[in-house]
Amino acid sequence: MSLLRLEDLTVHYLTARGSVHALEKVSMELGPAEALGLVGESGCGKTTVAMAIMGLLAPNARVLEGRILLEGQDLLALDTEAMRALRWKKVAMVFQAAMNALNPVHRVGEQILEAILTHDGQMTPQAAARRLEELCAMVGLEPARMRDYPHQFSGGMRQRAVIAMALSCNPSLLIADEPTTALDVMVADQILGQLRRLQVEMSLSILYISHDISVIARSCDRMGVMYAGQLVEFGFTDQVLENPLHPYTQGLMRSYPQIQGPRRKLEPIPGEPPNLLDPPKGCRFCPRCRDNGRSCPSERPPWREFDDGHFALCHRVHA
Amino acid sequence: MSPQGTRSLVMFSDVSKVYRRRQSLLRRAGVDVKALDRVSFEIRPGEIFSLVGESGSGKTTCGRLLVRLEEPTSGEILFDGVQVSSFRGKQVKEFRRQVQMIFQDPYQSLNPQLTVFQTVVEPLLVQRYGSHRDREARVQEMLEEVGLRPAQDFIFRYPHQLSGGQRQRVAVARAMIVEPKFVVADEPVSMLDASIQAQLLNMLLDLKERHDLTLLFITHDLATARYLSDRICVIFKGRIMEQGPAESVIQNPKHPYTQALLKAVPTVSRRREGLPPPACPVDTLSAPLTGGCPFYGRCPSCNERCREQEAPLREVEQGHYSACFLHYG
Repeated sequence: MSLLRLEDLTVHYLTARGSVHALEKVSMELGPAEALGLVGESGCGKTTVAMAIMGLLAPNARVLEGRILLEGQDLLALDTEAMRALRWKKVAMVFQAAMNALNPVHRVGEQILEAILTHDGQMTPQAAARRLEELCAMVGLEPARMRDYPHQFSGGMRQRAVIAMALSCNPSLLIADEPTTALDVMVADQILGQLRRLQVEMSLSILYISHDISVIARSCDRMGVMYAGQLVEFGFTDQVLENPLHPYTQGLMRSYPQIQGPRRKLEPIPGEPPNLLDPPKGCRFCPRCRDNGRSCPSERPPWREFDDGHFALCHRVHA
Repeated sequence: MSPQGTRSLVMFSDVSKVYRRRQSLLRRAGVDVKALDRVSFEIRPGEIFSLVGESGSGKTTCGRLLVRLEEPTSGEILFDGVQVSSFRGKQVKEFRRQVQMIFQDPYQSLNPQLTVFQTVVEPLLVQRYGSHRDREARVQEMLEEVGLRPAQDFIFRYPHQLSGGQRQRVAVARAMIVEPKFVVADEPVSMLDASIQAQLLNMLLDLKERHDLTLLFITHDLATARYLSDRICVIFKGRIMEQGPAESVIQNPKHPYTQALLKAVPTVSRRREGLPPPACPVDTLSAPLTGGCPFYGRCPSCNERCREQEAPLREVEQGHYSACFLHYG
């Protein structure tokens, strides 16, 4: 039984220059206590997926098709009030660069307390203070530092504070959008370790969103690769990394310099991602692909399962 | 530190940079910030030299001192054997032609009001290069060389009409058009997506080969540094911790700091390990220190001596230096 299921999610943004085809038929699932990663380059739609789940799509976004099922309930069918009641309690999010979104004139502790009390009006101040201490322990912050202001925190500590805030109502799903971008390597390593602990020890499901395939590789049980608004590959992390099926995934893996193994020449993917105002008719990756067939430019590739739980969106892959 | 006979193109000797925090109406006289502390290294002609460090390590300060955007507090910087701070008048202009810089953020380093042509031709105007027609031809040639082909499609565009990768290519064209000897590239690809990063890294390698360039590459990313460079210098809190041939530093790091840094880099082949031990957050331990090793307190093999004294760089293998008492026995 999956905790979260996306079925054929299609989202467009209406702009003055036409509609941006931001997501096209994205389907995937995330189990309880599982870590799922979405990797892709900027503009591929990974943050739109997160915003759609949170019910926080921009006003010009239109969901044309699809369902988002959280514990069997379709989030897209909920009205604003019902979604508000659910947000933060069931599904919470650590936004991109959220550590810079702390209010500079309030103490960090007050801001976390506010998050606790806003969502549970019944809680006594004593209970809320206890909860704050629990949260500190969970994310690795000293309770004594809760009286500090954000500028007295380092980047890593602010990120921990923002994670504590997201966990304040015990959500079953946490969305972490670029949780370590802009942090130093060693700090990033610790934050990812901390999130992994939370996932295992609290049976928390985490949806990671990152442009960095190695962050996903380190943290996730399953992963999806997105390109130009489409999910092009999905599977268990080991499957995808050891046997990438889609030419885009293969190209992405050849574009990363490695610190292990022999030094090898990078083979960048030629060209740039397509303009989503007018995406290619058939396969969206076709103009940059090494392995083009007859139907690639004209027909949408089929979403096929190749190995147990390993899917790809491609005309050319054979099992 | 130059055992071979080759003369170095750039030489830092005992360079320190202190940023003083002046007393003001709203601030008491603050503590001085020591961005660089007696840093010495040399860059040989034709090599790519990487300075790798975390934020606040002083790596960017090195680059800025080198192109003379700032002056060192003490120590000497030599370019081609001549002290950089001694250049006057015409020499400054010639120095500024020979040494170019590429910045991190192509969204901020290009003037939004200038077209690609105006941006790239500007250094030629400063250098009073040829006639208008010569300059046009030169710009066109340069744009094609950095992969903006056909150049005609790009010269009248403004930065907002370009993707991040294309903007950075324009920045590279602007730096390369005056045929510099030496280029400082400060995180030139860190704002770009992986597939675009790889395109630019390979382009830099090509340019370096074709034009006999020497490059100082400043980055926080060890994997990129390994890919590009001949030698890597690891810097932490204004001090050089380790320096050596790129492969040697990556495969066989000597300094505990470099070892910790390499262990923290996520890689595609290092998968979901078991639960990490609950670690004391590294960034809460960053107590400022007076003397002693900057890695003291986080280092698994530090002792009392490390708190008070700093180990000078010592050659542990040929050309591979590390600043740690471990190597002193």
